[in-house]
Amino acid sequence: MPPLLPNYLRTLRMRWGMSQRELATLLGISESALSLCETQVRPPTVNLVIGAEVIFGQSAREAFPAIYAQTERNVLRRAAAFSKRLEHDSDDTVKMKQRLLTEMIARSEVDNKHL
Amino acid sequence: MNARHKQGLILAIHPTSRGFGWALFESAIAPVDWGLTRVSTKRNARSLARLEKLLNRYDPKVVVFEEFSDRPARRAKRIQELCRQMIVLCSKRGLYTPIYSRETIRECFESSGARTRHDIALSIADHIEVFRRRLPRERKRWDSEDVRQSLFDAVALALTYFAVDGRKAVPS
Repeated sequence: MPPLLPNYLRTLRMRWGMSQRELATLLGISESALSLCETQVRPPTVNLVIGAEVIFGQSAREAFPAIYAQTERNVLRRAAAFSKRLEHDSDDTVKMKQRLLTEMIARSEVDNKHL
Repeated sequence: MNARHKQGLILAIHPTSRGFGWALFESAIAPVDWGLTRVSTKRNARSLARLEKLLNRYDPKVVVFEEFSDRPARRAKRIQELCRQMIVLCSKRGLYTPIYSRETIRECFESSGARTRHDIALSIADHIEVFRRRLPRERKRWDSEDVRQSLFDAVALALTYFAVDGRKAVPS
């Protein structure tokens, strides 16, 4: 099933019976910053995304699907432009880069098959 | 499962004399958020405002209520009025608002041998671990109701939705 919430930070916290204060302490951020992120007022910081993965063992893709999807879209758009630029060259390094881009697109297609 | 069900969150609301319990589900085994809203003054107006906040934050597609005007589960006049106002608020947003009788809820939990509301709460706590620590102790005749019971009532409503309406096509 596709994710229905922009982020699942609150769900994860509540699933483990943690208070906002406890999770904020673990993440090293203020309670209000955590609250703003939980209620989707403020986008999560890198520290928060990685910290949540360390604590809950959930990937950024699962815990923060909206920001992950947005970043993925942006990267894929840039990758398309980058791939076009590479078309003119044909040395080994270029082939390697093209393989990376192809694999990246294939991975993304597999991951988003359910959408 | 129907298409709309697949795409949306399910919110279940159970009003009490002190506020309301609510539970938000993605599927029958995936609770997303839950809580108890307490209000002390201007109870209906504040409860409605809190519901509106929840609707804005989560944008559920279905909001489930328990039958409130018919016997044997007829509720106090204030709560009946609150339920009506909540249903109007949800309908204005185009949300599907199924209402289940206590009997329907009981039938859904019959297979687990649950008859009373506390039995149903026990059955929920058995199946969904996150609710285990919120389980109220069994109410004695002389006790007033534990406020946490309304959380379990809301969860029971959401699970009833998945068991009953989840199989049918949701009217658009």
